[in-house]
Amino acid sequence: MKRFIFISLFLVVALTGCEQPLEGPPIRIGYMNCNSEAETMKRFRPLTAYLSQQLGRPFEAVPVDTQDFESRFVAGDFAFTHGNSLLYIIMRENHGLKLLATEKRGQFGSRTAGSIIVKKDSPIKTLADLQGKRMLFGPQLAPTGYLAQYDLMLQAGFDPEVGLDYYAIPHGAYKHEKVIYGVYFGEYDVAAAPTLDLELMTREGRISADDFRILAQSEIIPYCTFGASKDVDAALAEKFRKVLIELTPETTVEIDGETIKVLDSAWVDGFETLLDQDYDPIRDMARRVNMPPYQEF
Amino acid sequence: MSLSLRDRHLWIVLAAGAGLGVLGALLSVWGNPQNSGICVSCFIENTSGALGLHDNERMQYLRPELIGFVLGSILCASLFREFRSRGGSAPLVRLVSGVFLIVGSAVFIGCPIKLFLRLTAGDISSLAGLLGLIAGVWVGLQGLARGVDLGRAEDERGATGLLVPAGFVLLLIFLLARPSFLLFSDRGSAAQHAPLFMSLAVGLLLGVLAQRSRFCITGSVRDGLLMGTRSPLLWGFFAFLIGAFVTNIIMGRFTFGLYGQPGAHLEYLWSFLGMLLVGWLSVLIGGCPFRQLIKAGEGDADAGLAVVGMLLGGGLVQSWGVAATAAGVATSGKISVLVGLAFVLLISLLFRDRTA
Amino acid sequence: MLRDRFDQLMIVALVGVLIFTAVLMAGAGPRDDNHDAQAANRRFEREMLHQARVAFIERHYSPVITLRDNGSLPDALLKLEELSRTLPGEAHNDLLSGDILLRMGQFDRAISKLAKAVKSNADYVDSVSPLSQRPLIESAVSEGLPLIRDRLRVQPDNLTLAKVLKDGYYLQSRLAGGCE
Repeated sequence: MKRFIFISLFLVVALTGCEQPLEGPPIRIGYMNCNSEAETMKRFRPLTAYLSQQLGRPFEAVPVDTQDFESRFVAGDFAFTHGNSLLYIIMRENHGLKLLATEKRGQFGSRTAGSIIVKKDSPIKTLADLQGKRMLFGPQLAPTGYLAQYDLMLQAGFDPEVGLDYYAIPHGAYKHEKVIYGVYFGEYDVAAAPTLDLELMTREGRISADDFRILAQSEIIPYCTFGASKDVDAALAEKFRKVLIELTPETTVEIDGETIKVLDSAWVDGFETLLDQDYDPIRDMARRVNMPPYQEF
Repeated sequence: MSLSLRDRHLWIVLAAGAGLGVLGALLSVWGNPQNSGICVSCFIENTSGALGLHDNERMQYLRPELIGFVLGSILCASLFREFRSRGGSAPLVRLVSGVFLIVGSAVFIGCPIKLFLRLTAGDISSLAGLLGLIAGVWVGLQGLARGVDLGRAEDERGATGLLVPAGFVLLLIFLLARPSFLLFSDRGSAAQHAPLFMSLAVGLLLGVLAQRSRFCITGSVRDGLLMGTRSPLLWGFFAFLIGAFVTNIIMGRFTFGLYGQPGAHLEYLWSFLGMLLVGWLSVLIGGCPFRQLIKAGEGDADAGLAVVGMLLGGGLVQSWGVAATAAGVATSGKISVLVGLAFVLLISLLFRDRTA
Repeated sequence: MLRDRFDQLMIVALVGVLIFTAVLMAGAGPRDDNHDAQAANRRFEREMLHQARVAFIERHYSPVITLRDNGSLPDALLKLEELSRTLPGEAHNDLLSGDILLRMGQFDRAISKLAKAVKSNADYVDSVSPLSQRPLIESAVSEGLPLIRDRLRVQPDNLTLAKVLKDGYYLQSRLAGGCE
């Protein structure tokens, strides 16, 4: 009996007390900066640590500026990618990036849209009324902050290059918020705002739904996406995907002695596996707007 | 011993089975919730709500069928001189068993009668409950064979067997007089009911037939396992199945499938365990919830206590969120079933005669 | 029985008590107005609470319904976001989100939202309730479920859609009726 108790205790200690050692060289995940490097690291460090813990491999988070994303990926700075859906298509078309999982956040889940907004009392009622107006866009590689709205206008027969009096893209961090506030404070007549940002700012009470009117909203398209280089071992990529889609709001990870909720920290509701063809509407938009990866000079 | 078609009892059993099946299906057509023409556990939860034992505003109605079962039974038992006050066999165990009969049924969403009404209406998600019920009855029989016994009921002085039927007479008065303290839902499944006198008449008729025949669902399963096709109850059970199935087909109430069935969920393990608990307890205390009502009408004070436990259970499963819904089984429901299984295991240990 | 004076006394007392009870029950005795009033009040309050809830919902969500009926679906969704701050967890928010998402063709999200709404407030599938939304929920289920099943055939490991399918079956089950 004593021996049985001793062996049982030993097994309990052995199975619960030891952490799985991380094997192999670090595997780097490139995370697209939305606003700043510090913010990116704060958001994704817990998720990266959780992936290391689950896969038994040392993952490392690398914050990457949107415009440098492709060149740094080609240079081999990172093997896994997390970026917006347009970046995914660029990397897919140019470098054979494999689709892993799409982020879920907000009303449309793993999808989102771009909106063209004006102030509630604006005389602008239709896209045709934009003639001669001042417009603020988000960054050029933002699918729902630039591409979708630009495409919406072209589809409606309105060429922003000719029709608008002036358009601009704000500098620095928090570009999408600046775009929304640009209209709110009357600096611009109209803005290209991601629907998700409008939703989040309304939910947080930073703007009121009654202050704006959504002139038009684009087709609903996939949101930020995880991908893996075609050189990544297929089994590892599959395990990576499974860990992502099985994350729940209750999943936690220990970092510096602190227990952190992985999804909460990353500002994500969860992950979903989409099909590459789900991204075709973005491809069509990029072709119509003459943007990468289909840009023709 | 083989069955004879000349045996009058066999025909009474067949009539009881067929009556329960046909009328059980028809009551849904006449206004009771879909697939719940007769569901003793649901009706008990409704009745507990009407008496103020829980505050789920969608589950409060004094179900006339229950009153009919008990009063039909006492009328018939008195007429045929079979009313006999008896009791004293582990009364508190029976009271608690009554609570757990409702817990198991509420987690499955339905008593054994409703299980087969669901099945004969095409709901194959109830198969998990069926397996659980058969397993429960089988385990219960194994216990009985090895000496598990709550003890014999003794004849009791003072007509204690009248107390529960008297309580149901009082409920009948309440139902007709509608005193202000009774609660009746105006929405939800308790607001769906057949016309009062139709429900009462069906209850009385089935109470009479069930008293004469001793028919009950778990009893049929038990006798089927013990005696095979020689058991009259098994044939009554087949009559029930055929009656309910044909009625559901004729009335256009048959929808074959696993998904989207009324009052059903897809947590098969918990359906299985819920009905396992009901089957096992039913064997130990001598009958399913329906049979407890009928026996209470015959003067069995032990069954009467099980009925009181069932009413208490009806209040608790709603107040504590134990009852499952189409969304699934809540953690409190899962814990309650496990506690119920622990209870029945303890009973099997503590009430075992090891001398035999 | 009736052998001695004690028995006789008990019988007489029993008959007396029964007669008195019957008289009280028949309403011939002094009425317990306080108790009756309390019970009536309780019923009245329950009904009032229910009606107040319906009126409250109609008042607070009328801007969303106006936007929805005008076809301004994105604005309506945004307004719902704002209302979720003042009425967190309110089932009607999920119901209207489901309605609008359905109109936008987002069947999967619509079904999840509608299931969440019905889980919180079963009146939406109750045909006699003033809050009943059976046609909306029926159309979400009948149009959405086949699409989700088709998609799951292509992507059987999509956990999100598997959860939506479960929500769809839940709605189907609630629409079919049965005990709760």
